[in-house]
Amino acid sequence: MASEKKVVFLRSSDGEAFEVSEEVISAASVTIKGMIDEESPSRADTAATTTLAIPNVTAATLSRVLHYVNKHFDAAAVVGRPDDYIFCAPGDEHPLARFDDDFVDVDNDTLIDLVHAAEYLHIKKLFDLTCKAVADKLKGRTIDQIRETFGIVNDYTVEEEVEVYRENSWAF
Amino acid sequence: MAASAGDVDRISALPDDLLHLILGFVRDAKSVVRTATLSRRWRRFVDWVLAQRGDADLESLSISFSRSSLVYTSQEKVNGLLRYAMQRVVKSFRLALPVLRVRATSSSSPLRVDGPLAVVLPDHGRMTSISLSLKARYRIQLPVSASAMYEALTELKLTNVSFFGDEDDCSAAGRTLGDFVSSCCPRLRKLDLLLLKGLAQLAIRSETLETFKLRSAEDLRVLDVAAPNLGVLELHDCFGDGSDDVDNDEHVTVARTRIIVSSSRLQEIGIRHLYWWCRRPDLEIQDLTSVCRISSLRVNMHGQYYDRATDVGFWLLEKCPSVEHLDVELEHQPSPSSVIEGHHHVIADLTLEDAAPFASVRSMDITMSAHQFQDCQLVSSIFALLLKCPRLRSLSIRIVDEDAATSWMPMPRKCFFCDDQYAWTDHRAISLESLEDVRLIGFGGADEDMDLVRLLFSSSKNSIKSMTLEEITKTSGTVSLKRMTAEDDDGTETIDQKLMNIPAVDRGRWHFGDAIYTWTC
Repeated sequence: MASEKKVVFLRSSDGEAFEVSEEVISAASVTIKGMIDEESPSRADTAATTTLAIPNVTAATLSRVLHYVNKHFDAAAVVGRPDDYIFCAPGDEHPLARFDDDFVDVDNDTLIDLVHAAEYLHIKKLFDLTCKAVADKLKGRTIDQIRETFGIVNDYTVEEEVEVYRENSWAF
Repeated sequence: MAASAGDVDRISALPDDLLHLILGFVRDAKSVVRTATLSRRWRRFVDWVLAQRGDADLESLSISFSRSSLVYTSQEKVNGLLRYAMQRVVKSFRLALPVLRVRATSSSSPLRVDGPLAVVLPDHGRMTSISLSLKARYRIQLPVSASAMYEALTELKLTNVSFFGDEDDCSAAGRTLGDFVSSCCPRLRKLDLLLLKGLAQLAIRSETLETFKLRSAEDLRVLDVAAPNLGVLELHDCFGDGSDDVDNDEHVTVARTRIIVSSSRLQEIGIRHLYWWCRRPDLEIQDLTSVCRISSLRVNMHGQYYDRATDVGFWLLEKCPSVEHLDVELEHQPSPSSVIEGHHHVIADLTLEDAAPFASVRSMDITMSAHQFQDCQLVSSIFALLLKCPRLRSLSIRIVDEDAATSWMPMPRKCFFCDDQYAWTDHRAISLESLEDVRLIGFGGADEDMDLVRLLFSSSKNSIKSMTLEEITKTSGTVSLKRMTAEDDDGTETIDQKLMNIPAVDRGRWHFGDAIYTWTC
């Protein structure tokens, strides 16, 4: 039926399936839009819903991604046209700026999972948001603070460390 | 949210290109390069980033070494950076070498000093702006090649640069600075030289030069600038010709500094003479009639008196008939009696001179240190200055009340011609019929401050439209104004009352704010 929106199911790497509007996810994810387009000839006239495997993304991450996608790309949820996302970069005084801030206020593992998922699913806006969130954790911190934040192990020998500081002394 | 201990280092596991995208959001090259010190993986990453840059041009490059990196700043490294920058940078390049601490010059210094270290400026550069701050240890070697060219360069700033002198091996010297500027920089518009050592002569011929600033070039003996388009000239503290000590015959024989500048478009000029006891250098500046603004002028006044032989300020002012705006540093540098006995001092009285007044001056900003002046000299010095500026419309006087103990040189209060016989007795009326706006900054309410306000009101025949007394000196902030007012309980007038009792103020109204008093009519 024309009035009923088409949906697709996305199956996470750990086997959980998530329902999402085909229109919304196609607007959000270049990768999934490509998958759907490939599928379409075979399901042109069938009422059967499509299930797409997303082998690189866990259920925990995928559910977060879809939460984001529904907020940002669902025409019914977003004021204005569905494609007005191009006008709202993260950090702008946009109705969703606050949502974005909260969305990336997560632990490092979750954040990096989101970076990977956004990259794989090719959701540009989410990718920028999460990369910027990682960058913010690197900004204005000392080397020791960055190591602590991300659990980076200093594997330099004393001599190597002196050398690497010397090489890059102009940046300090 | 900091990761707890034991967490797997996920960020280091990201692929280079992804990490590069992330760091792109940091938007600061230094922060990116700093990450090389995190771990081996990050060092490889930074190498990878730099390799990605390849031969791409850099718009601007600014390299500033911190003090701690002093020991690592080898001559080879500095010259390598210069070569890299000259090839790659297209807009602005700035290099600042570490500040040399006194301690680092001791024998324990890790820097070996075998002869002079030379910073070699390559033959070619592509950028439009260069600023080099080299510190004393390095001497600069300018390109010697006949084809050397800085085609696009419009601004050159050299700070803390030493030049090879006659006693050095001349093969290392390269071109002279004057030759470099005149023949290798065909588009140079702005030249700013600060703290030069070992430069005895500077001859510049430039059709394009518009701004020339030279500050603290104590070894300079001959300056010869021919730049028809020069509009702004600033010469500060660059005539240390040592001819100060008349008791010492050796010094008297030292050649007097000679300065020749020719331009037909000079608009703004600033000359300050650091050594008030030295003879005025031999200044030939053509053409000063177009100058409308004097951006800095230091005059050493003893009330209405000054020394014609050492003074540069009044000398310059007399030669600039079109000056409309003046920034004056009014000083009182007491000279020991031995100096006045010397043959090259000529005391002049500004108020008695027949010379024409500075008739074009419409606005004047005076800065003065109160502690340098004896009681009555402050007002009488300003009096003498105002007497010469009859068409003044706007006047600002900033009185810096810095403690003599905190100033750079302790000043004896007594001075050879400021004893009682030269006390200010001149109560001639000054006529400032155009004076409209007055600002007194650092108003303290002392008797001499009051004298100044009275003088200004009595000199202007009702032309003043507004006067602002700003109370900003550290000894007398808002608090002290209140304190001073409160202390006056012995029957004397308060500051407010004193101000209101000045004749002619009833033409308008005082408004007494917390830290600012304004009078308007």
